[in-house]
Amino acid sequence: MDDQFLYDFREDPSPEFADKVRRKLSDQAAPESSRSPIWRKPAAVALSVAAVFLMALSFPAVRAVAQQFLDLFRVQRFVAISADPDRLKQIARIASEGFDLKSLLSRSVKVVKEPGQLQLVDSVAAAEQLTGLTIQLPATLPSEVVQEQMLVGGEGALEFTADTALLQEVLDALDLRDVLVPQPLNGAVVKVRMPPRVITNYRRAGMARATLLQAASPEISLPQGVHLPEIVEIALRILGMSLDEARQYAYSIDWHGTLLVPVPADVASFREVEVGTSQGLLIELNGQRKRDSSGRVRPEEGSMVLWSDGGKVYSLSGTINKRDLLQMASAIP
Amino acid sequence: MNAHAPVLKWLVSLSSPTREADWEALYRQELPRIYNFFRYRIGDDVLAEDLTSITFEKAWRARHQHRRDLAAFSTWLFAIARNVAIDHFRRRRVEFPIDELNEAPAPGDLEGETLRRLQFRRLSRLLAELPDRERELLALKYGSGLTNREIAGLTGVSESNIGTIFYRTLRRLRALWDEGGSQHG
Repeated sequence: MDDQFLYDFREDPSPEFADKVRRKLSDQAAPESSRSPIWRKPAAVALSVAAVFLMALSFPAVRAVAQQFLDLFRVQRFVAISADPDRLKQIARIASEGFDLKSLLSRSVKVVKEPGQLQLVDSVAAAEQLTGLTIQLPATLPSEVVQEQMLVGGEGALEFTADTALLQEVLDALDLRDVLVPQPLNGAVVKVRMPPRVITNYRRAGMARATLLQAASPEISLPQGVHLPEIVEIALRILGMSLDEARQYAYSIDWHGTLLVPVPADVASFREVEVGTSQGLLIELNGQRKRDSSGRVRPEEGSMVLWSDGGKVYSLSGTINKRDLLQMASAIP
Repeated sequence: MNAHAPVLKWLVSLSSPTREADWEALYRQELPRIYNFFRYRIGDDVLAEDLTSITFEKAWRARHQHRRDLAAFSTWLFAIARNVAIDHFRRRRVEFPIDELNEAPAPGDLEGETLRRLQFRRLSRLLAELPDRERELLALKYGSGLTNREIAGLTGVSESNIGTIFYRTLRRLRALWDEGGSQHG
């Protein structure tokens, strides 16, 4: 009797059984909650608020006055900031009290194009045909890591008219009384295009996994007249920065093509890394012990690398150790 | 549908280590592992199917409460499976008569699948004699294919302690198996 002898008794469940359970689950399918689960986690709440905020409003500085729209915003690099845990709790609390954070900027959002559900594909060629992307995958994989599956998501597009009164409500709820909302923002029509994306899942023996997402940069256009650092300053205040810090930071960076990634200070750390010839961002969960949904207290572990290269944005995340994640990222041509 | 949903979904998948779970993919990946966890834990294919089904139904009902990254999902699913097994044993303690433990198959007369099934039946009976903790650890390792480190993360037992437990348990299992006159191993 050896290890292999013990392993050899494993069997695949019968297809009939697999189908039976699948049907049972399908029969129990309930409508999706109107509140996405991401809003139930303080960190995710803050991340999403800030991400929506900045994705919607990070755009090139005013240059072409004669243009109806500014140059399209495209992500060229990622910048992380630490988000204040207390502020995240505050945001979570007002969200739990029924404040509709998803309507932060506008109640009149028009979905121009639905991205649809993720679709499983069986080859790179199929994914490229569906998305129009030239897909890049790691030329080599770390030991025992194998590619599992590939999924594609369709293009999405929407537009909305900014409503500063809503933003003011959020600021009031957070007791941020010294933040001024720029009035030129009110009534601005924001157009967002989300290009198709490709998700590739990897797995190492056991439960360690990694997910590579690649897509062309999202594009956001917005009428002239709004001074971008003012908007960034508001976002930084929402994330817990003091007035002086927020102002200094907002005016120290050229936000043209820069996506701000808030990282909850109590659960993760970040640093800049080199990914091939690009500059990337490595975010690591710090293993803080948290009670999961089954009631057990466990460390939250995992890493994520974000970078942009050749007009595309990449995210590689998972529980495969950070060294191997970086190796995979750097092996993408 | 909330009109922000497409933006949020895209952003979350881009800017967070989580992504919207592809339930079908998760199901296909985890079903064999959970099923084999129960086969090794319980020793009965039909019961293993029932308990696997219960595990996935529980997970499905609670899926909105869970962070949706794949690794965390696996850990969460195994936590549910372990509790389902505990509930099962609370309701019904499976015991095998001692004399059956030494009832070795007659491999000279058997081949292939039949021999394998008899061997697994016999192994299950030996496993049933182990303390619950040891049997669960063996089910996680040999049934579900988890590494010692993953099992440590799941059970709270230290990785070095798990190695020691496996060493002692396998030595005991081998002795029991050999006492029964196995032709294997």
